[in-house]
Amino acid sequence: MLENLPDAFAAALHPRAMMFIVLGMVAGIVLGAMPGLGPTMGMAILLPFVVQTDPQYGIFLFSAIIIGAGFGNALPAVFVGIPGTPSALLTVAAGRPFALRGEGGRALLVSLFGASVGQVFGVLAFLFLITPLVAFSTQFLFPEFFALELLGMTAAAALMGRNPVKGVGAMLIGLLIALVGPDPVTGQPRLTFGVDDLDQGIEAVPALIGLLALRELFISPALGVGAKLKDARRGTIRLPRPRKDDLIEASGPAAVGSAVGLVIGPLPGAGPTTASFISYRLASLPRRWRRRPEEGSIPGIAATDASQNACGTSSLIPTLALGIPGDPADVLILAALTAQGLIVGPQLAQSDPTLLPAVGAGLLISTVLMIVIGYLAIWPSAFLASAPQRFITFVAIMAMITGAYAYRQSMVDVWVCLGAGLLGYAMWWADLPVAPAALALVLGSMAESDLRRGLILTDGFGGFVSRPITAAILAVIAAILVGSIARSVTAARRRSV
Amino acid sequence: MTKTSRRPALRLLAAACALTLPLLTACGGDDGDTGVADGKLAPLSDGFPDRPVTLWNTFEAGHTDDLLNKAFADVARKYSPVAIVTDTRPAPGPVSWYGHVEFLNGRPHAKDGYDLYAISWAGATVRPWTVQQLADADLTTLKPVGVVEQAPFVFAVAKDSPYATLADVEAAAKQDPGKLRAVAGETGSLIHSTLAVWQAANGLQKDAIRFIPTGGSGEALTVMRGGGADLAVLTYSAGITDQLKVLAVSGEQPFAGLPDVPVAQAGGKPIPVGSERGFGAVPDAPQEHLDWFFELMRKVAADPEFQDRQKGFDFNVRDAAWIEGYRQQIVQTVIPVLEANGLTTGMR
Repeated sequence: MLENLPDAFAAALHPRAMMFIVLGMVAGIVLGAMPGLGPTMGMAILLPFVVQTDPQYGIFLFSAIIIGAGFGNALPAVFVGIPGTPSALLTVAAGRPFALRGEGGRALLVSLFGASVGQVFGVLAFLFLITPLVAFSTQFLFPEFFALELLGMTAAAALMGRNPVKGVGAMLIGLLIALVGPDPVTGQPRLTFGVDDLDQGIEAVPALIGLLALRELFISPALGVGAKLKDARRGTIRLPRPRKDDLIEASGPAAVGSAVGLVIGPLPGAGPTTASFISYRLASLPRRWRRRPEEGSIPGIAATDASQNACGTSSLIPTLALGIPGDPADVLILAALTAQGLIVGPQLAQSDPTLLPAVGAGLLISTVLMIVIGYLAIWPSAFLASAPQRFITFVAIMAMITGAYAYRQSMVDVWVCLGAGLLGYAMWWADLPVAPAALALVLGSMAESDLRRGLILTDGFGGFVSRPITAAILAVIAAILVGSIARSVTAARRRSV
Repeated sequence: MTKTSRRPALRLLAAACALTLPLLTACGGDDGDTGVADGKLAPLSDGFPDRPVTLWNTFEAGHTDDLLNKAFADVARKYSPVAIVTDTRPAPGPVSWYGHVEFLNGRPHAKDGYDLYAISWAGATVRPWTVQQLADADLTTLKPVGVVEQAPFVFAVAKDSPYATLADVEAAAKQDPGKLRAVAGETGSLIHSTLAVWQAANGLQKDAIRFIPTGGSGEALTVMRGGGADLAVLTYSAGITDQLKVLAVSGEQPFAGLPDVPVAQAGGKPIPVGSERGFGAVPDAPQEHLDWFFELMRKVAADPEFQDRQKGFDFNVRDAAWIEGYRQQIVQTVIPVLEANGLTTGMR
């Protein structure tokens, strides 16, 4: 593959190719910033155009959309407290406090830095590690997925605040919501209370929009967010300049997040949300990377955004090398290539030796453009976020309801969004943290499904836990939990003394 | 708002337009296929069609139905006097095509045949028996227009599997019940039903093969590559033979894409299911309008551009009468096996 790289760069730098990349990047940032839309919807709309053009240009456009969305989802997360996609959930936790004190631009620069590092790692893996990563990914089956999801859920420990009991209670609420719907093995509906619309379960995206974003708007008057933002506007409206200290502080966590994203990306179904949760957890383990929730967290932003982006790029590896798409957006890449007569899979490198290097070159150029266009996107976002609070609230509510509806074009999802918003408000009123509930909502049903299917695959619990990778991940989880408990006990003793 | 604060918004709008227009130009600039005037179908005497026909995808964007609609609509421009457009409106969960009928009935021109939906006829036939919400649906709920493309389900094992034929797998499952593991879509799906029919008709108990539900063919392929299952039933896709050893195909005759692979036998008979994909309409749509669209289907299916876009399928165009017979055959052969294996809701 590497011997074709010079030609590949020449192809990717062709003006027409550049146009596709730039357009994809702009579209990706916009789609990523719109809760409920996301890159898949935009790619589906553009598919008829893509199949009429050169396969390379099609991949350039689609991969630029994915890359752009990987940063775009941080814009509303930081400025409005609404994650553009579920994988930006923790960008809200780590980045929103910066916006509240007028440093939203600073948080977004760290996010952009993390995303860029993740991209670079992802592209290098695509170019140099495609064969070993493909081989490694086949070692992951349902037991390993379950262990990874459990590892992601231990992130809840970092999000529970000072009262673990309330944190566990919030997580149970999320799990209860996640369990509504079809049994993952028998397919029979459960916990639906006879409501037909719940037979397929509660969709995570509209529920998250309500639980996190709508709740934020409900409680913002009580928190005086409007006033805080007003004070902060002067700080956010300027195009921010990178701070050397921030970039140094973000480097380590971004590398950790990238490594996690590289491992998770090629695993079909695992996805950037799982990667971001695991990275956030890992980024909160070293003492020097820990921050109080109200401060926001440079390491947290860098780790989550790096992992999402590394994950998005490395998920292209099984898509192109095996014909196994890692997530719905990759399905559309597969569809576009198949529609153009290419048989995607192990023989792709032989049948079209120029395609994979060109994709790698296109990804690298997209990364550079993401830095430029992403940086330029911060100012308009800050400008929009600096509008009067009433206007922002109105537009945000409309965007959320539209996003919830657009996700499946279903009114049920709108009611789910509104209901989840009220639930989030009630949890705030009861002083229950909402992040563990959101996390359980995203990962709960996946973890249950993988546990049940893994037990069938291994014919029992013994075979399940004795798989080497599963056992290793479970051991890491046990170590994290023991460490957390030990820290809590030590802290409690200190307080009592 | 002051004048100065409005400028950035205008600049953004102008930039968006400037970026979007070249894309449209670049994508459509060199195709040169704006229509072959003499090859177009003439409208009917009642004027149909005098407005665009919409093809609906009732699943998520990017679903096989969506891809069919988009390829069909693009190529149909050559043959239709009006635009063929596509749209997506996912119906909740497994009610899919049926959940769409009510929506389409609410569209002002659906009853004139201007709104059609992509549909897999085997799947649509089985679902009323396997999905609780569809217990009241019957074979008249969806009106067939025709089938435009088909692909079988394939029975496959790993490349290094010791099994060379489906009979070998059957023998192994009988010899050591419960040892073999299979992936075949979700519980109660048409692909799972295909596996169940094969098992039951060949005297294999339900638990003789451990069934692991999977979300789709990608997940099933991953499980196979990781050695997590011994047998897979998957929708055919071009290139599958590079990854797996295909032992048999569903359907009544060999598949053109795999001419050397035998047809799977269930008790000495073929399993009459697969992906027979085409279009359906609301029950009140006039037959002559649907017949016009069927003619369009024949032209599009024969077009090399469409066949390139939908690589991996056969393109035998089937009419509504064929679909009715096909559905009856499924009801008589597949449904009894599903009922015997507890895979139906028992509500019909």
